[in-house]
Amino acid sequence: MKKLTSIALALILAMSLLACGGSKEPEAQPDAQPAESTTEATPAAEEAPAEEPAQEAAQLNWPEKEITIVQPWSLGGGPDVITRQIASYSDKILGVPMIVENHTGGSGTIGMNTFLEAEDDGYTLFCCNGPLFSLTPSFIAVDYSIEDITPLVGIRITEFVILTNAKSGITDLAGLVEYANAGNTVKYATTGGPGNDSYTMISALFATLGIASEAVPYDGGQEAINALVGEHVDVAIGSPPTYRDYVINGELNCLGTFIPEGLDVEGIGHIPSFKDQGYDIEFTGMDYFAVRSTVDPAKQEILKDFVLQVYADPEFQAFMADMGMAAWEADGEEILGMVEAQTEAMTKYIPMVQ
Amino acid sequence: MEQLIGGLEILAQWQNFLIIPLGLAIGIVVGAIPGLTSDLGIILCIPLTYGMDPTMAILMLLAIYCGGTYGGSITAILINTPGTSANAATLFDGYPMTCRGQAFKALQMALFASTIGGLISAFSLLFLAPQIARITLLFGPAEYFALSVFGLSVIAGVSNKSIFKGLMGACIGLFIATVGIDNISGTARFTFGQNKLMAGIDLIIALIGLFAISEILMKSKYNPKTDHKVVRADSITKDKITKEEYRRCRKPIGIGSLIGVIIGATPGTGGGLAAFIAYNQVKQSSKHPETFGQGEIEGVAVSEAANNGACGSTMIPMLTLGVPGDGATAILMGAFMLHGMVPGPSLFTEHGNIVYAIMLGLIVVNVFMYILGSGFTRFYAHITRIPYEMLAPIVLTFCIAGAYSTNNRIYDIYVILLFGIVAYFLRRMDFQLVPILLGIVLGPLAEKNFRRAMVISEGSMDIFFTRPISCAFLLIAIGSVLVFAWKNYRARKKTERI
Repeated sequence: MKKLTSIALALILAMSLLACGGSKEPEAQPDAQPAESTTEATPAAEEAPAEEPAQEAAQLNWPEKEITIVQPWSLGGGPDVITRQIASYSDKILGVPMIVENHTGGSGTIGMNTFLEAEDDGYTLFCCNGPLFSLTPSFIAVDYSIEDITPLVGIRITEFVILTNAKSGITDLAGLVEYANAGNTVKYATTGGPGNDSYTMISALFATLGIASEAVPYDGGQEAINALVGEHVDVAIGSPPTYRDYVINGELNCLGTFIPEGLDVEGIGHIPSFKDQGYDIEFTGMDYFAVRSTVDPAKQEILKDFVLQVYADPEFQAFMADMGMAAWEADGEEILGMVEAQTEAMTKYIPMVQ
Repeated sequence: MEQLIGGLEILAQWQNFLIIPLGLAIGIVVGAIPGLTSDLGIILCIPLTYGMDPTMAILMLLAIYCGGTYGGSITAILINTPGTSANAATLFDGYPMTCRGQAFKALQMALFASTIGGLISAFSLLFLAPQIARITLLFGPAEYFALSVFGLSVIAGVSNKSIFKGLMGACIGLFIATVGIDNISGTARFTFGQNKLMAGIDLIIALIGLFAISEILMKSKYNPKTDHKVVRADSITKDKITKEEYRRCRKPIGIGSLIGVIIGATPGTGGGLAAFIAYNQVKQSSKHPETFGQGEIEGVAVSEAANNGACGSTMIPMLTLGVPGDGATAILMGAFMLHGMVPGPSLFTEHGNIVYAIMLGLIVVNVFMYILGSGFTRFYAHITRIPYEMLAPIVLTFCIAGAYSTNNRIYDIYVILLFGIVAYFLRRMDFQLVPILLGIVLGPLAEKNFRRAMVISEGSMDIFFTRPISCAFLLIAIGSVLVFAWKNYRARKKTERI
């Protein structure tokens, strides 16, 4: 009896190990069919790239199983919350569940590698951003490039704002320069370390201003803002909704934003850009959905259409408004253009901070 | 007051009273499986809450969180493996009680202390949230560093036999904590060119390897014919907590709950640290410190009161400042946002009624936890009757599944096996595992904040002594180590005289 039980338990153990091992590439069998359609679709797409994928998408009986969004950022953060909200619509619109898997660390490169290791069957999406191509490769050795991915549709624009504590009396950049020129070293809180976009941009700003400063990297936007509210640092960088309430109730001051055209925030009003204040520094961060570049264009069309349907939903719009943001409906071409522009801009900013 | 009444009205809906026990049951089961944590339980259940109204959804997830924190004590007591890092301190006395045949009593005390700690925490959240939140804002890098040093001073208390080995263990833990990308400088440390190590070693992975795998290896000499003790089913639940034991545990539960509330409200710390600090304090102030670590029921009481005491208060910085107190609250914060509520200063004004319903609901969660836990305790106590040759493969299976589920990769399974083997040899050499765990838990907190403080003070150490909270923590830490050193010295003298 004991032997039998031991054998049964050993079998359970072996099966669980097999299940673990197998789950890495479970898509192999169901993918056989979509893979065929990929090869068929490519020549057609070459002939009429604009219309064919949409027509094929309508004929394609896809998706047939759950879709995974690889999320390189941590649970509960801005991109994670938005992608989870989008994923919640999948059952209703696509008829299959969509799950969000967080593969964090390595400034997003771990998530990127996981995404690129997955099959190119369209069942894996990636929550991508600009700095993964424009910034991270300058700090970490990466083995991917922009050619490996196809941006589908935008998620959000990241609008970085520089803030000070109201008690300091500093309300604009001139005041900050004056404070530094009085012999003070400005300590500024960033939302991450070197290789992080907020770190690079605020450091580049201080290099442009030519004032003595030191970065104090924190783990995330809210931590950085709270360090400023608690008067542990002089300046912090933030994006909505982390700073909004504190500015509205008068605890923090906005000095400006990297968005070239300035920023209008509900309850705060217009935040001027640094460009308008006479400093040649600008940055527009963005998150977007991407698939592997070899994914069938018809499937790309279905996924893009799904996301746009979610963006059109009034409930989703209200959700984004509560977060102090709006969905960014940019298409692949626009996103690629912005990544390219950002990469070029970074060639100027990165040497300033290295 | 209006919001409180509004909250009561929302909470009074019958659906909430159904969803809370369901969440608790999931939490207790998930927490009691080594490798599966309440964090994972919450993540898995978030999609189930999409269709629910916000109060119901958050209450379900909160019930998983609280249930998971209590559930982790079950395996700590029964199989010497904490279900979550918050329950590591419960090992000290929980498992020795099981070895003495007092598993049921230990489980009962863990439940009772968890409930009291949870209730005190829930009431502090309800009545003191804004005040505590303002205090946590005073915590800057210097204060966090001093708190970590205070936490590390616990090593002196938990490595009685050899302080040297305790310190070596802590160094091993601190070293493990340095693996991965350093957030301050952006450089990769000890990754040996492996991308998979860039994110560092997950705490739960280290926990499974250190405790569960090494425990199984330690039992490799187990002989089913001679080592298995046959225990009668009815005798398992016979040994209940006496009135005198309840009376004795009043103080440890009070201290544990209070420390749990304070530490829990400090972002980035969590129930594990609270339990160690509280355990240390109670042991120090006890008239019979030598019984701690040998199966002292007060040890179980203080550890469980502290980790559940942190459950409600970790919500304080999350709700009021938008800063999660620990990993689980970071996920809960995401759940709040998914249901259209952005945690932060405006949450109480924009969604006051719902927030009050949730805070009141946390009290209900703890009451239900006691009721439900009483049933589970009877069931779980019988695990001690399972022969180890059957229990070991089951535990190993859960550990492997749990390790895999943390990051969805096989790599972590190799890591737990490696940790298990190393921990096995360390245990054979009489090393304690808890200092290693403390090093892993507190290493990142100490290092990051030390370096931040150095930037802010422009390289001057004065920052740690000129700031009152930081200075107080450091003085308590020094005092704590000196008291232990003095007690050890006296004990040695006494032994020499005998």
